[in-house]
Amino acid sequence: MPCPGAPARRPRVFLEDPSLKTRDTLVSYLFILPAFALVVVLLVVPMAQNVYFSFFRWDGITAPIFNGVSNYWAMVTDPVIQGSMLNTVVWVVFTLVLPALGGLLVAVFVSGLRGENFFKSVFFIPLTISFVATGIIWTYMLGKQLGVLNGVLALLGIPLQPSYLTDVPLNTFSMIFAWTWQQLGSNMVMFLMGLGTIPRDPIEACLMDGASPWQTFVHVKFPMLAPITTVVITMAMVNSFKVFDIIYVMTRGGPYSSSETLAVSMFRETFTLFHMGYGAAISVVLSIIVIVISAAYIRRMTKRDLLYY
Amino acid sequence: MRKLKGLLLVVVTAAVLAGCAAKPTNLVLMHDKGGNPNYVPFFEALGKEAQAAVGVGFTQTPYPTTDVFQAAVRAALPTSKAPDLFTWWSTYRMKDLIDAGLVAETTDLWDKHKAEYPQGLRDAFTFNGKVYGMCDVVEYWGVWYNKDIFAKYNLSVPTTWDEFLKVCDTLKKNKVTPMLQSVQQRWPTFIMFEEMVARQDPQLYVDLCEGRVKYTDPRVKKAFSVWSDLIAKGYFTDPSTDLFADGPRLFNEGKVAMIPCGSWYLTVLTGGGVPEAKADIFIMPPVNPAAGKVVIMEASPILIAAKAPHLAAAKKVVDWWMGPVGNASFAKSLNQYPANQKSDSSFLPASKVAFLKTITGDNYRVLNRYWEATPTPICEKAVDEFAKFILKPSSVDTVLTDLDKIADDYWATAKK
Repeated sequence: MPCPGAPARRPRVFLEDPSLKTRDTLVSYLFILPAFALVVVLLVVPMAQNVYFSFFRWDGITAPIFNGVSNYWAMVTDPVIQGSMLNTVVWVVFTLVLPALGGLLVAVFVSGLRGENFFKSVFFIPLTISFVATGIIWTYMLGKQLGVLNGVLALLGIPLQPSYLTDVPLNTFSMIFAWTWQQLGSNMVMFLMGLGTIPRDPIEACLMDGASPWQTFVHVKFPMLAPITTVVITMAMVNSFKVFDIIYVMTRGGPYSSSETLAVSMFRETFTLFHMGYGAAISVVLSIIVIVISAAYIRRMTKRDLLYY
Repeated sequence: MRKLKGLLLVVVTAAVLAGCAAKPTNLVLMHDKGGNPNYVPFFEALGKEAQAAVGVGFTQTPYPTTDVFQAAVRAALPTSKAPDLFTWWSTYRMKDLIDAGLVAETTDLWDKHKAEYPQGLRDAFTFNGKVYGMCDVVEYWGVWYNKDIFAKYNLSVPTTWDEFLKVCDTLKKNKVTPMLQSVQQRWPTFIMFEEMVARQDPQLYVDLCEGRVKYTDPRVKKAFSVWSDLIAKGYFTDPSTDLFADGPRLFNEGKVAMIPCGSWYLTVLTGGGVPEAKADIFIMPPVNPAAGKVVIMEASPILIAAKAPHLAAAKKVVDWWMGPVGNASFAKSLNQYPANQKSDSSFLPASKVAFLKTITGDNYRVLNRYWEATPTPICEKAVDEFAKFILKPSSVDTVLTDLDKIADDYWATAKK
């Protein structure tokens, strides 16, 4: 006997009718077709072309010249790309430490607090601003002579007046800070969703057994947040590998390419220097990294335990 | 009934033919000034003016950013969808398009207007004896200075290098930063480089840009040592100062007295709240007196695509635009110098009129801006090397060696 409220089973006769089944399948494919065609035309074909051109030397106007894996080999020996790779790793690591961990901490402290909605809004508002606008705001905030931050330091009588956007590697960390300011809200919301779905029973049992709030968090809440943590970390990693807009607005990857990431290098090589093949090779490497991480993310997302939450 | 049908057919055919005959040729102009600055209304007005003057107008396809615009133009030029006209950058910035046969020759038009254009400008558009495109406006590079600050400290426009250093020294002693220097946005790093080298020896500058001299040449190193000395004396702002975001405000507040830049920077200053009467411009005096009177020029080209769908009509419009009336009309809307010397330029602000009078009256040698005067692959990497030097002047030897490597790599494979 089916459980009360469970969806009624389809009549067996419907499933067993081969003509109906075939028609159903055909209709399904027809519905999928427009989206599938768009993905093929706008994503799969250009990606395949991009991979193809990564094996050529091409300036975009003359005939491409096949040069095998030279573009990939050049990436290994190019000091600018090595610097970009290092910066990309710094972005990924600190994006995990700051916006993800920060989002978790804010969510834990804000959850159940008096004025929770107010604090949630305060941390969420930056997310509604575009990356470009965020970059412009923080460029003004971090200016050496007219910037707000150095103005505050001067008011407090602190003699430090850093050049946040031209000192290396301070410029990369300054931009990660601006990024954190914007991204904290989305991670906080994700963790708040996770915290909201944790059953009360194990927490209460833990507290009754004499555990401190910290112990409760470490041994009960945090493990139960694992699926959401996976999503947040994976998304943070994918986004930090792709980071472009905020860097392009704040430093254009400069000075002397010191704050470039792979995405910025790819753009500069392709659209400023018109090294189309080399730019394509950088984007292939970047895409492989992002696709591998995204695949892990999608796999995790489709697991039953995550769906439960 | 048959008669009526026949009549109807004749009427419809006549209407269609009349429609075809009356349809004006409409050219397409692609440009990158659809964002900031926004030239859309100016190009629209000019298209209508061309239509009224020569019977051929143009519509525009604006792009908001230079990068996307360049990619779009380069993709379109080899195809039948090439724009009839497009904005570009002169000399080496257009060389690869010309080498690929994508730009239509306009030697006949330059010959027709020969008396109206200086030879130096024609040279910036000439490749292997053939001239390409046209020049809509020209700007010259100098030093914008705050007249109020100069008056306050009893300073006058310097005419020698010693006077220039004295001005900087006085300003520094009075806690006013003499000059703005920036590594932000990458490209502004070449401003002081070209000033230092050209004012040491203009021919050295030309030879350096065209690969006949090495960056490690002792004369180039000497120019860098003068630049280094200015940095060491604290005559520049912090390099993180932005030319556009911070420059006008610092200038207006009297925190920075001088900004080396193009004559177009007046629009940036006034747009940033600086009263026009507060700013004036002079040409940086020569470091080496033997360098003589030299001014840096920036020319803005309009090119015709070799595969333009309406090539003859495009040349007709360019012919009119190169003439005194068409050239003045566009320059007036931008408040910039018309490239045509016979064009009316009385609309310009007093400071720009006086600046041009100095250049033409005192017979200045006109040099092309570094951005266009040297091959793009060298320039794009060189601006980063200049940034390295600005941030750490002691790195000069490494920077010059790196610049040589960049230049050697290019010249080893390039068609000169």
